[in-house]
Parts: sequence; structure tokens; C-alpha cells
Amino acid sequence: MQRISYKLNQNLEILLSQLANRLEFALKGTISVRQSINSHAISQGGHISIDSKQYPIVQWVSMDMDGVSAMSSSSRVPAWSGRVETNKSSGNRLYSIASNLQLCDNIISNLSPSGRGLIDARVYLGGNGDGYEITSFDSNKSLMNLNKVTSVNLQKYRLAWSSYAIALVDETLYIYYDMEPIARSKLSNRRSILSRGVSSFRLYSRGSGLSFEMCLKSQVAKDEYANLCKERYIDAR
Amino acid sequence: MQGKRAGFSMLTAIAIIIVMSSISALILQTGIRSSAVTTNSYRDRQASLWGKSYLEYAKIAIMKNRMLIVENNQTEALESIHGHQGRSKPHGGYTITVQISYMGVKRPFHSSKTRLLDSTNNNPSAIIDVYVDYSALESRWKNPMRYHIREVIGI
Repeated sequence: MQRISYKLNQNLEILLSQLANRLEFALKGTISVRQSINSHAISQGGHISIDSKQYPIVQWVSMDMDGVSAMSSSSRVPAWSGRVETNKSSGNRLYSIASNLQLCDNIISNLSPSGRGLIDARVYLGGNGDGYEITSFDSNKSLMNLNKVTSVNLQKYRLAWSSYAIALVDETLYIYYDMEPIARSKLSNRRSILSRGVSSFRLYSRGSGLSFEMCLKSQVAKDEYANLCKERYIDAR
Repeated sequence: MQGKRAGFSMLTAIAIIIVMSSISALILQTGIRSSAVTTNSYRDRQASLWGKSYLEYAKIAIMKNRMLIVENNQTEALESIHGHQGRSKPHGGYTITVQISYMGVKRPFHSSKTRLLDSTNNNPSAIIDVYVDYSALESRWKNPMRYHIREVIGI
């Protein structure tokens, strides 16, 4: 029993850390749920309260944090900074301060199994639900040309190149990755098993962040199971 | 006959003691491991909280530094902040290093040549990198861990 409780504790701890690391970078307003793999995604508003018994699939657009924390061997300049140079930017042209967009393009193409690049990423300005497509970029000028944006007049932006989803199917928790970076995007056929024996999860708003609760079970004897639940608070970024 | 039986009982008793002590040792070991998992997760969380605290502190320090440069003609730009929290280094604790770089800033931030990454942008900004070095408690400093957080701010 001690051993089972130890294993459950350890596995749950690893699982929660993996999920917290991804959910931390979920863009506000992009979280949606599904009742099954093939059903339509339903957007969640500002207040989130999701139970896996009702909605076993949760998906979100993730900000590209690898780009923000990256730097080349010769310079501390990040791949993208999230700050707009307001003096130069106008119309659909976004000049990004302190950015190495070529590095950003390389990081995305190295991480994406389907070979995405910066062109496939989207720029989120303020509360725009679906972000803006990047039609072209010039790394030397730290310039991105956006599609369908009337005027870039905000100081901050967010860059995303993938959505993620977790799905609880027959007590197995899957993660879907490398999907289009827009809310409610179609689930990709790329998925990996995060854990088996997951009995339920809950995701809900708490303060300015999110709380994530997950329950894991393990068989002790015939028809007897040990169940362990843990909760993790995730800061909003 | 009586003596033989007593000897046999003693052997049984010794065997039971050995089995029982092995089981208790196993339970104790699992208990220790289990608490180590919890402690490590607590230390990871603590490191990220120290990182975020120093990030906020660095933002205020940069603003104050900028004010001193503008008002008092101080020329030294703030480049790094060092700190240590918790127990002294061989026994744990968290060593925090903050590295600050500047972008697109004309005078007076020019004083910091190594940290001035680009002066072509018109909007001055600072890149703050916070590193928190710590280790898993059970292995002291043999198993180093690092938490990194970065933010770009306008100044």
C-alpha cells in the first residue's frame, strides 16, 4: 500500500508539473472544451469551471515561451520580445523591439513536427480572439507584416505557433500538439499519452490564475483501487 | 525434548524479527522517498516564487536607477543584482542572479557598453533575466537546478 501511494504521488507530481508548464502559457480567452473528439469546441469565457466528467477535452492556444527565453550564443536578444515599437509601427506593420525573428523562425521549425515556421504563427494583440496571421517578416528590421489588422496601436503583443489539447479517453490522458494557433482549432492527429489511470480532472479560475486538480488511480487488488488527487495553482502570464 | 523445542522457538523468533525489520525498513525507505518528492516539488515552487520576487524588485531598481541618471547625472547603469535566500550555500538555499540588458536607449544609458544590445530602436526597453540556482534538498548542491524567467519592459 505504501509503495502504491508513493508511486501514485510521484506520477501525479510529474504529470501536474508537465501540465502546469504548458497551461501557464495559455493565452487568455482561448480556452475551449469539447464533449468528445469529434464534437464542436465551446469557448470558455473569463470565468473557467471545467469538469472532465462533462467535458473530457480542454484545448488552448499557447504563447511561445521558448522564443521569449531564448538567446543566441553571442547576444541576449530574445527571439521575440512581446513589445511593439510604437513610433515606427503603423497600419499592418509591427516593428518588434529587441527581437531576433530569424532565431524565432528557426526555433519554431525545429520544434514543430509538421515543419511550421514564423509565417504559420499568429500575433495576438489585446483581446483579439483569433490573433492575426503573419504574411511576411524581415528579421533585419524586426518587422512583421500582419493580415487584416487595421492599425497596430498597442504596446504589447503575444506570439503563438501552436494550440494544445488534453483529452481524457478511457482513463488515459492524451496531449494533442502542433495544431493551428487559433482558439477552437481542429484537433491534430499528433497526440501522445501523458498518463494512464487518470480518473478525473478539474480546471477552474482562482484569483487571477487557474487551479488544476487531477486524480490518479491504481489497482490494489481485484476490484479494489487506490485513488489520489492533487491540485496545482497556475499563475497567469 | 523441551530444550529442542525452546531452540526451535528461538530460531522462529529470530526469523520473524528479521522479516519484520526488513518490512519496516522498506516502509521507512518508501516514506522517505515519498517525502523527498514533496520536498523537491516545494523547492521548485519556492525557486519560481523567488524568481518572480526578484523580477519585480529589478523593475523597481531599474526605474530608480533611471531616475538617478536623469536627475543626479549618475552614469552607472544597473547591470546585475545578486542575492542569496534561505540557508547558507552548502546547506541549501537559493542563489539569485539578475542580469539586465538595455535596448534602443540613447544617452545616458550608453555608459553600459557591454549591456547595450541595440541603439537603433526609439522606445527604450530593458531585458531582465532572473536565474535562481538551487538543488534538491537530499543531494545538497550535488544536483544543481536552475529556474530562469525573463521579461522585457519599457523604461
